[in-house]
Amino acid sequence: MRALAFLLIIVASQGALSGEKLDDAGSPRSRVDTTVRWLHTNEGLTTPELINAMVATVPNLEFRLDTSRYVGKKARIYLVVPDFMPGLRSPSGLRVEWKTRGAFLAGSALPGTRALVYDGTIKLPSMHEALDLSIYLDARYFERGLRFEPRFEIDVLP
Amino acid sequence: MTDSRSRFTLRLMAAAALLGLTASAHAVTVVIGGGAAEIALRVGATAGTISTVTFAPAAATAGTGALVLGTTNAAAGSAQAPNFGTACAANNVRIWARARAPVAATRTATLQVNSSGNLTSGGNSIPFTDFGWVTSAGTEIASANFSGSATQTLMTFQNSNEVSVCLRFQFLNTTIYPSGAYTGQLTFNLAMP
Amino acid sequence: MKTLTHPNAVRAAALTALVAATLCAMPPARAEQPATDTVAPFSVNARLNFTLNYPAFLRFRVGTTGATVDLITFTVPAASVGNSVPISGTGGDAGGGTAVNIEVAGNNGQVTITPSNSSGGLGLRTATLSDGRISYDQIQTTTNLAQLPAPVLTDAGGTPVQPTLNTAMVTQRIAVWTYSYLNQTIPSAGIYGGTAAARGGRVTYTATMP
Repeated sequence: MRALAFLLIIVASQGALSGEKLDDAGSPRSRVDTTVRWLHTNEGLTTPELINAMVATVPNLEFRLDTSRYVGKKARIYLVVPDFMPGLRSPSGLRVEWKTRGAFLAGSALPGTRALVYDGTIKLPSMHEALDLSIYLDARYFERGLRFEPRFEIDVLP
Repeated sequence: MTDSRSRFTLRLMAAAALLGLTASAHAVTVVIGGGAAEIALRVGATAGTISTVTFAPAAATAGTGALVLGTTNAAAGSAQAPNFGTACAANNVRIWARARAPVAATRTATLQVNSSGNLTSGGNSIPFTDFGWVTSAGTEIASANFSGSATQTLMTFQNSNEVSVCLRFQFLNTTIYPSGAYTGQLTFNLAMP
Repeated sequence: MKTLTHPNAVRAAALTALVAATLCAMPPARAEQPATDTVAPFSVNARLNFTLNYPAFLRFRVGTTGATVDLITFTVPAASVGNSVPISGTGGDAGGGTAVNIEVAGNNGQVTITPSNSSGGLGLRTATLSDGRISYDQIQTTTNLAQLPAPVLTDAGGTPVQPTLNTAMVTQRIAVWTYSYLNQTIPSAGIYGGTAAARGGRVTYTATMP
């Protein structure tokens, strides 16, 4: 009985986000290293936001999403930015922006939010997309080695 | 008994399968490194140009203690547009410093000047201790005279921060020196551990 | 993990192990891997040039500053004429009027102070030529600073003096020169010298420097 209780707890927490997670295990790279740089270099950075602004870019980050269960269905796919991540001391210290090279929509999202990247009928069992990421960071909340794991989830429309 | 056990087992396996799906063993992970601390310093004109402050004591008051204010060009007190307020008042030198680092690397930056040397003209010299400054803008550096120390501290501040002051240099003119064109150079140093 | 001994527990234990294995695989709890760290003591220099044009100059002051020419007046009582008791002067800007302030400052080498007077080498006279002359030998000047000696006045002018240099090229001396009339002769009664330069009473000290 102890083992069952443990499982239930885990399942409940996974269900806190709406939408079903899309498997991206087929993506070409599982780990990408990038470095952050100071965003503004001119004089006159008179606010903490300006002086602490940093950015890290990841061009051409490819995703392969397993949409085999949803072929033929109308659905919305979202890019999800986790609430918390190792190396980020506050959710207000990060913002992700992306451009895309395929059918997905460009956009931006803050930690704990998701942004719509696809709205339409799922045509293929596997959707490939490449994103050019710009991760804006605030040095006051950034620790070297920050790990950001973007996820995708899908809402199937009735 | 058997049925209930089977149902129990089935539920357990379904839950485990769901768990396996959400396990992010192969999630795409972006690891962000770098973020080294940074310091920057400017004294006078930008872009590495060394500014010059000129003093011209008058014969009638040479050596009498009447202060001789230094003059310099507008570039020495310039403000980098567009974010920085206004340029320094005429004949002022801008000292601008910045130190920043990610949160785990909070440290104190120190601005010092080496005033242990002299201006020289042939075999004659005027020590930097015969000079001082009046601060016309900014609060981080107080008006004072050069102390003659190789490590005279002008200000300290904690990162991440940016400070800027405008200084009008002056010759104290309390000693008579042989005539001549005297030149010298001060070195300012911004350091952070 | 607790070991179960019930016969049915065998399967249960296996499932638990599967769950446990799956649990351990998510989320990966690897230790944080630091990126390359190039931390060194941070240090940045910036320089500033100073240029100071120091003029060659000579400043010399005798008595009241500005255009004023002080008038030192000796008044000899009738009963004291010629008794060789020196008479102090009045009208100077120092020593209660008996003396004048002297300042000399220069920065280009040895200064020389040379006296001259308006008597044409003949000494002080009155408005009446037949009254005769009082020689400048009767005017004594003393200094309070050995490094700034007072020139000895003579009818021809006097002996130049050289203030002691402070450093190789710089002179900066302040002294007080006190004048007295030696009263060793008995001239005719009258006002000798004065503001009229023709009566020989104008003394000029000239300071020169290379």
